[in-house]
Amino acid sequence: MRFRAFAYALTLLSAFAATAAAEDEGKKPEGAPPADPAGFDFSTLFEPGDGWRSTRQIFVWNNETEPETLDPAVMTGVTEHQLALALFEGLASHHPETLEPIPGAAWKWDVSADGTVYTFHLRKDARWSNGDPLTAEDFRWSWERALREPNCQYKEMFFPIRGAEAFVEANEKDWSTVGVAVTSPHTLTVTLHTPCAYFLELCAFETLMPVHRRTLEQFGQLWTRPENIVVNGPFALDVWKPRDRIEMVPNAKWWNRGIVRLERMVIRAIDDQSTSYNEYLSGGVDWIRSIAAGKVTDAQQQADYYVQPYLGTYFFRFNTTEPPFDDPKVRKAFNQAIDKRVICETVLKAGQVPATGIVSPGIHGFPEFKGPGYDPVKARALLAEAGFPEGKGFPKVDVLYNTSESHKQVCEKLVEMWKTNLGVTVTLRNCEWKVYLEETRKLSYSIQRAGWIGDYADPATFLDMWCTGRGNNNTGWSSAAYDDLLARSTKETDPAKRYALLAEAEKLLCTDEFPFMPIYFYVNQGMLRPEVRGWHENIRDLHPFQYLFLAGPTKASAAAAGSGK
Amino acid sequence: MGRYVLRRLLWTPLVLLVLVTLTFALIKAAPGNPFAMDRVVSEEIRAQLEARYGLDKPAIVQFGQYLGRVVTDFDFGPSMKFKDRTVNDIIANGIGPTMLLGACAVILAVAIGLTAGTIGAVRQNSVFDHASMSAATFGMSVPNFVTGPVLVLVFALSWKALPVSGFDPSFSLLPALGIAALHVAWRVTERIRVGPAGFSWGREFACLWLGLLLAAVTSVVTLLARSPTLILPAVTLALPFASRIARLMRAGMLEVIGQDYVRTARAKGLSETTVVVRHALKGGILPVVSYLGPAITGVLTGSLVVEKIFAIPGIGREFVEAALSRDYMLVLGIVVLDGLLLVLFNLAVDVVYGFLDPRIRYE
Amino acid sequence: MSADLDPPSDGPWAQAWKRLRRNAMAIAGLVVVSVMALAATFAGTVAPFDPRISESWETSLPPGARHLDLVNEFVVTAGQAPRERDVPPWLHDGLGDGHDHACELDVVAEEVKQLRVTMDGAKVTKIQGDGARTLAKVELGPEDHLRVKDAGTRIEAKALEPGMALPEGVPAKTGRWVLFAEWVRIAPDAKRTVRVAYGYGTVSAVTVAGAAHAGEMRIRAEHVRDLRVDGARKEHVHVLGTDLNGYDVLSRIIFGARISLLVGLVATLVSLSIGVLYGAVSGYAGGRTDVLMMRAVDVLYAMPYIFLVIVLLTVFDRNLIVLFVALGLVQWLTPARVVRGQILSIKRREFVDAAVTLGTTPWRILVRHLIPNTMGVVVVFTTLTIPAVILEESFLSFIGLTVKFGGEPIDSWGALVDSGRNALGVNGERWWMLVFPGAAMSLTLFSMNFLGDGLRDALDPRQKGRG
Repeated sequence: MRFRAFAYALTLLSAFAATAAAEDEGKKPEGAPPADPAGFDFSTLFEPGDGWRSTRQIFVWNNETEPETLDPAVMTGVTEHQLALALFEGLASHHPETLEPIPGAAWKWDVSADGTVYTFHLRKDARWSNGDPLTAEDFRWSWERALREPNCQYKEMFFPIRGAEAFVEANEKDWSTVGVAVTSPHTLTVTLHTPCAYFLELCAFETLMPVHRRTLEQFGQLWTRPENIVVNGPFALDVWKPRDRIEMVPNAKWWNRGIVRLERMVIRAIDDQSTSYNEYLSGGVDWIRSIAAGKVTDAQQQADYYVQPYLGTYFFRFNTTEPPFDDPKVRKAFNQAIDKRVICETVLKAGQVPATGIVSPGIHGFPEFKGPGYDPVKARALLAEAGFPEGKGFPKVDVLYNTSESHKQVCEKLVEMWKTNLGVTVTLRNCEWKVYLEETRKLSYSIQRAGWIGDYADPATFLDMWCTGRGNNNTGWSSAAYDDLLARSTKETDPAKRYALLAEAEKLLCTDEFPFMPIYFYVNQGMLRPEVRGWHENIRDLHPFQYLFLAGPTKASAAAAGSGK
Repeated sequence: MGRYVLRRLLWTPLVLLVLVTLTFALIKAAPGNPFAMDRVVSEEIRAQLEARYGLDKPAIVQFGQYLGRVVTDFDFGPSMKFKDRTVNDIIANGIGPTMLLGACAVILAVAIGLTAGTIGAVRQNSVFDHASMSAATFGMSVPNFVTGPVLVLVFALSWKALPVSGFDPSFSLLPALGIAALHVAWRVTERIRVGPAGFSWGREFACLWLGLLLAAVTSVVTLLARSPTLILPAVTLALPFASRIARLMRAGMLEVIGQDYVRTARAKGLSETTVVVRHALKGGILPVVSYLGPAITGVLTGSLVVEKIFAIPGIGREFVEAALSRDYMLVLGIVVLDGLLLVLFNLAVDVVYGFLDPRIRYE
Repeated sequence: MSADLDPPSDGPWAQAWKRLRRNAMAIAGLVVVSVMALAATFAGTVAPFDPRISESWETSLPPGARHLDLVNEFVVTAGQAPRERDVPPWLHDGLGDGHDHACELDVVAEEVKQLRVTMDGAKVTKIQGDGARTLAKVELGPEDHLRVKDAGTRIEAKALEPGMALPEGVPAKTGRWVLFAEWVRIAPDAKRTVRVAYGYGTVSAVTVAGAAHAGEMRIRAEHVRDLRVDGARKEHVHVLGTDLNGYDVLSRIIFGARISLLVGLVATLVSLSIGVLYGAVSGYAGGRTDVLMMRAVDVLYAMPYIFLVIVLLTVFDRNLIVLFVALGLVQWLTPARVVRGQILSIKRREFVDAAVTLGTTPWRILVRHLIPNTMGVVVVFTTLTIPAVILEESFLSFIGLTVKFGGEPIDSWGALVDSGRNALGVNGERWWMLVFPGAAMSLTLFSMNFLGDGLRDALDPRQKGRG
């Protein structure tokens, strides 16, 4: 961990040196803003392109649904996340291609030798959209407020910070117990209780983004209205017509205003996926983030269609506290009786990747684990060993899933395969989302459909939840060896060794134990006009809007420009 | 009449009270928790949340507080899903599009239905009659969630003449004012022609509703001509009602045309148009007016579908989502509001009916 | 429902029946409704396929498509009786009939990997395979080849990688486009004919390319190119095509009818029972009770019902019972009012007075004398309420409130129409998934409305032509 952070600081420094050199050679793309003097050379993210100067830079896209809130500390969903990315900026931000944390509101940071103390140096020129300077105190106040805010449901994002968990769980009133200190107006010192390899990624996460204190105190719940809101990100909120559209314009006070080429974003809230797809085809929007299951075949024929691996795993939990799934042999037999390729190719059909491990591939440097695959003969043998030859005498079990056509199809396929390969009859049980969540929590299921989307690109986001007693374990499974591996990985500061420990933990899960059954790794699919540039595929579907531009006019941008906006 | 309206109005709070109690009881009986998430929320956080929304008190206290707030401040509380918006705010945003769309659909349906039904009755058993009645029966049987996508496919995707979705209304009052001016001009010239002796308020009233209807239709046509995003949703929503109204109108007219006073009018040598417009229409329209109450309920229902298909920022979309995500406050607010709207519209329809049908006397 | 119409010898019912018979549209409606009801009742026998079994390689087949008669995968083992799940459809009839059967399957054991190649003119820019994975390079083995999907033409190349230009023969397009290629890897014994001999319900022998095969043999349907049983090609037909998941559309419609009609019928009966009883009691009791009961109806009339139904269905489990109750509760008000009116008009008649004088209890009078006299209205209401309820149910399915039965979401017509709408292509591709369920539903609603109108005219000639 420490090594990694240091290595990162080093690369930053060398990038700095390289930038200076590059500048001397005059290789900067024409029209690019000056290089950031602080460390990371942002001008490398200014993609050269012809035709953007003569094009109205209006980007129209569909954000799927109405955001539940624009308050970054309260957000939970992907829809809101996309908006937070445009309106606010954390201490760190995302590199548009690799998603590695790059400087955001802080222009550099130092990490102590043991990897537990982070010192963030904020930009002196960072300002709120109303002109107020952005200070370390703004972050401290925002974080305290997030931890006190009942509606903030992602408080665990703060938990690597010393004292944060106790502050929430024990209803601690005294903020001084939390390891966040303002050491100068532009220096924030954060102390963690153990090293955390992905803490900088968390610093780019919306829950840790700053909010403007005076605005919140003055307007209360109404602070996110276009007429009130004060932001510190690349864009400012211009229009918010609920359920219809949000419009944003570049934030003139943002420290890196020069890199923003879009003059406006029109963000629609079309929640019906068929309508969204039709709207793209008719030229009404230039980017849709997902495609209706029924339209995928159609979409795949189009050149604008894209599909990218997504940081998420679709799996089924077993209730390991009750027979028959308290026997690992049964769980393994159920696993090996499923041909995941068939599910991906005939049911899902969107390029999903069959999974034999739990950690979604694409996390830089972490090897994909190949566990035991489809083997009906072995599966039957395992079931016989467990005392159910040919499925005889197998107790009544069911699969719990939340009501949805695609979950239903996957579950039906599983049931069919278990029937064919094991001779076991499994019934289906579906409930409403909220009821399903309660049933899961109470462990009143035998097999439960689940999905997990990584919050940050680190294997821990998929592995930590299987530790004994973790809130999202929900299987009753517990292993001292596994807990030990995870605990050791947290303390390990060498990133390579840490990954090795985590890989070992995944192997432990997915070789014989299988408290769950991985089915596939998510993909993310959508449609994007070729004119939209600066957009890169990545495993979290994050495309920082400040780097986007249009290389040529599109129907939607022309229409938006024509309507006088 | 006045007393009848007053009494009906006095009944309204009772209706709403029953509605709120019923909905509140249903919601309280529901399994599932509005704050359940796919990741664990610790007990402390849940407790904090429940305290914030007042859910930690006994149900009866919650109900009392809710009623109190609604009655004294007309405050329907915070939304549980939309953290920075209140129910009042959401309803205020959504009611406009829904009402606009509903009004367009009703007026469109009445205009199409009246015309088709009247012509069908006057030219009974003509080609037009058979064609329009077949179309009407068809229109009644095809649900709007089938017509909507098909219309989108034809007009927006293949023909590319209309937008797929959105809500961008734009309106001008001028054409409607023009119609009003024409109407006034018509009445004035007729008064001059007939002379003061032939004037009667009854006749002016009878002509007035025709003028109003024309002005309303003109407004809707103006609105649709200026806002292409509204055309497909309004037509989708209007079609089943237009069909039903056409059938009712035709039947109503056929019955009236056979009656004595229309025969007398004909015998007096009045032109066919005059007979139809002056005498038959008023009687023939009665079944249509009595159908307007159910039609308005139907439009509210239909808007749930149409708003979904055409991504219209209306109250229907809010409602379905609120119900599914257990946003109790929002559900309650919308149910109460829709109840109020229905009561008022039904009352209005009854009043209009009373004016048109001299046989009805409200006690 | 046709049973309701049995005419009692020569009463008013017989006259009504006579009048109804003269109404051609109503009779046509009656026929259609009866056919639908019969098909729905005997769905298991009538439907050509099990709508819950998807033949995954038969997705999106157009109406009338013929297909080999196979199950997804089956296992044969020489010397053993096939397990029930391994019996393909064509064997069901023949198995165990005492005769020997021979079947031949032409199997091509090739492994096809789908590649999505993004092109810029004639230049390859990106290759995706194995789902969304981006492949740096595809190297073809000696037995492999690439072919253009759909067109079937082979691409002569030994490898595929970004930056290379596609060889001749592939029609290059300008700008960005996508080439769907299939990377076909053929096993050494790729093409072979499997012969399976059945005798007395047992697999007597399995031969592959003439040589006997011992042990288990797995046959995947997607590898079978031809199938002959006792020399005859075995195929089946999907009359109305299949949907995106390989379910037979016709069978889905028939099973959907079962749900839609059942919902319509039961919810209507619920609402009528409540409505008739309520109206009758209110009308017969008269006075203060009547006023109070009717005021309650007035209050309930003003409710936004569909909203209450939605609340009911989301709040409680979305099972059929809740739906029946919910829809039934919506529909009972109108019959209550009408029946009350009827009761009011007949309760002063002589036979009622006679019964009162004889000391009959009011309850008995109500049930024996008054309610039977309102049956005409009730029948009309039934036929008009059923389509309304069907429409409401499909509407609920459409907005995402699919009802469940025994824990399973049910594919009623509304749900079928919704998935058809989602499957509809831009140029009308896969139209059959929307058109046929939509047509089935519309036809039923159409017929019921006609039948209802006809019945009303027949039972109450004075009302003729209304609405």
